[in-house]
Amino acid sequence: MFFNSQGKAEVTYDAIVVGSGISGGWAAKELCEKGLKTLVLERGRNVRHGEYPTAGNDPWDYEAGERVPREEVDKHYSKQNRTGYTVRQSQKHWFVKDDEHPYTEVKRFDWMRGYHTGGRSIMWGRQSYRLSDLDFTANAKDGIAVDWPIRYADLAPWYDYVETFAGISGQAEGLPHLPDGKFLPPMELNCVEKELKKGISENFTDRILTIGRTAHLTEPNPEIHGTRGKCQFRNRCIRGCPFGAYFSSNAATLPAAEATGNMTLRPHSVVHSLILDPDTGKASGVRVIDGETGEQHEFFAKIVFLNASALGSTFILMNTVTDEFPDGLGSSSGQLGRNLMDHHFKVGASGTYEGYEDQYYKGRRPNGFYIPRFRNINAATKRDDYIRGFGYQGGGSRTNWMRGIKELDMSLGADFKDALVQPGPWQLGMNGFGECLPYEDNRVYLNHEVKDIHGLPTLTIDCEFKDNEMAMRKDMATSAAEMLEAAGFKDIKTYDDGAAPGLGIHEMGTARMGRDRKSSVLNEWNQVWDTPNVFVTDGAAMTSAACQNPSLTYMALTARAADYAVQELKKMNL
Amino acid sequence: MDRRDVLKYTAYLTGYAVTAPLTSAILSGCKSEPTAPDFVPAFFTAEEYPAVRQMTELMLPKTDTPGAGELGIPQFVDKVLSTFTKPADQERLRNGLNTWLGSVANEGGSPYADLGAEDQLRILNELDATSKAAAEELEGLGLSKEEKKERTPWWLNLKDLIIGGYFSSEYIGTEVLAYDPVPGAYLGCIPVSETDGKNWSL
Repeated sequence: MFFNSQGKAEVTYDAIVVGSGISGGWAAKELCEKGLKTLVLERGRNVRHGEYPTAGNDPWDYEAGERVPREEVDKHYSKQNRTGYTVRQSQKHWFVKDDEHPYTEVKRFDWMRGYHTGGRSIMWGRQSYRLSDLDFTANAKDGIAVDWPIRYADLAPWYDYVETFAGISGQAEGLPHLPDGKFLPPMELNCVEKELKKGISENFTDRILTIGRTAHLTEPNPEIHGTRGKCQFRNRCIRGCPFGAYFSSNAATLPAAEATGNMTLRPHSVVHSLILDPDTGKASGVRVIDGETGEQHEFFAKIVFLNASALGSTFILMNTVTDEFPDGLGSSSGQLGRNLMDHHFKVGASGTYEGYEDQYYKGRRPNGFYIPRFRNINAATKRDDYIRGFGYQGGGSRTNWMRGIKELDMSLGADFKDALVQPGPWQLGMNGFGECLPYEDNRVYLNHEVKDIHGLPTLTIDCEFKDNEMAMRKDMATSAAEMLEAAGFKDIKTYDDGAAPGLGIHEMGTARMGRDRKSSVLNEWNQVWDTPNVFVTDGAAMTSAACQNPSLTYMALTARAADYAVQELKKMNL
Repeated sequence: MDRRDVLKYTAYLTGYAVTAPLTSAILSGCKSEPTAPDFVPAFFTAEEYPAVRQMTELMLPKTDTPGAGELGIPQFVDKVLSTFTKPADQERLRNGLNTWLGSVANEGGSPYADLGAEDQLRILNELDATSKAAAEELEGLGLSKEEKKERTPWWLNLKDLIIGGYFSSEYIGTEVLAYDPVPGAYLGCIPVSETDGKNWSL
């Protein structure tokens, strides 16, 4: 039953954007600013910038710190809780309830989702790195999967464009394989991080340490960033920033889209399929279930941007079934839902630093250091045991009272208590983030047995890391320890806390871009080969994963595709 | 007593605590009744709770800053264990605690809660040393994070809750540690004297 009481004209727009997260916010902004009447459909509740209820809470504002009652975790967050940091009193409202939005795992896959305006742009890690031609040519050089249909030169101006608006703090380093961007002033390293930097530069010709490149305004420009404020170094970003200091859809792109007067944002709008017009071969709109009322709606537009997250957009394509596309729109290549990637991490090393006992730091820096990839860059850095590479993210700090549990060698009592008031030794840890190859058999498919709260089918995920990733992990642990040792750290310990995909929260690749419609779902402009007025510009589009945090690339791909879409619309090609 | 009441109580007591001699705090703290007498633990039994309360205060006694008892840490620990802890972790802690309390009673001739404060502290330090040594041994075994967690001695889990609860309490967080809710900037290297040699609370 359809509840569109209005005429079709009233539910027809120039463009529809499905999803309001990192890439959807960009699609909304670009399409609205270029004059298109744009409907943004968000499946979850609305969150306006500033509606961050826990942003000012301290640990003691909760009855048991940040803990969530065990029964509530078991009932609602069995999978979202796997990160160890998401299901806390201050931030659990940004994560889905697994019982309402189930998925099925053939092998462990930790799928972290947030269904609300802004999506995961509220909770993202904010690390922002460019890909380079080392990445865009990798598949072709290795003879793996398919070649990216674009090169760095295609995306570079769009990286410039999105970085300028988003505001990326970082240090230019001149590395060809990790291109510099339009940076705001970098954040500082602390004493022991500087020691590590020095140790690396003195002992390794192929490695550097730099401050993380992160989407925070360290020096806002009101002409570009509007009312967004400077980072206050509270490090409570995941709760939503009342200062708008880090980039989110809520703080940045959606207000810009709204300011044009061209945006209609409709929350509680669960898009489950596209409407295909058999006469034109194009999509004419989308079908929506209202998440609050259960009513069904149809909305129409000339172009549709799918920005529902990699697996969300893939679901919508798969669930768009016609006689021509029995396995879903975009399935003619056989690649829809395949080549699922995430970054593998939770492997690295830590150590302590003796000295600087009279030094400390001020502020809670929402960022760490970054050691860019240094493996398989050229002949000199080529490995025999694996292809591609990894970068490290890490940070140094002084230990606090929690060292009283195991480390502090003192009798319990008054002196023990007083000692714990003081900062302890410096420690430093670094965690590798490694590239995962695209494997056809790492995939998702529709599950019609398990339904979500809207009665829609769900996804089954069948994905694992394989030999190349496992071989890389050994090097990720060893190389981390080697650098710590060279820099004079003590008590060095390597770790590998296991590798199941998903927890990187970088799902990618299930509707990949390519040069040939027979082996890819999207073309060089992120258009679905089978229906060129449908664009997919979220993580689904990624042809390879690289080892860099991917959101900045989604932003650039989205802005580029939106620009192209509007040009093509003007030429009447869509 | 709810958390807010605990904090009011704390504020009242602090002025007194400043003048209290350190040693008397250690020796008498655990024998006094620093918590509301009508508190009924939800996790600990009537036999377990007095021992836990005493252990908590012995580890973090009242000095010129409040002791763990005044800040309601035993009640906090009971709350975390009853409502926020997995059944398997609850059982591990309870079994460990009871086995230990049983052995203390056998060897010392009387229950832990009935021993003098000096004996209580000595026995607690022995438990602490053996627990830390046992945890250290786990490091070399190549265990996964989960396995390590499951095999961590119960006392260190309890100690974790006590220390975490104490240093994350409002009074310690805002009055004792260096509290800076909106730093405004990040400075990578400052003299530690700028926080009076204290940890940041957040």
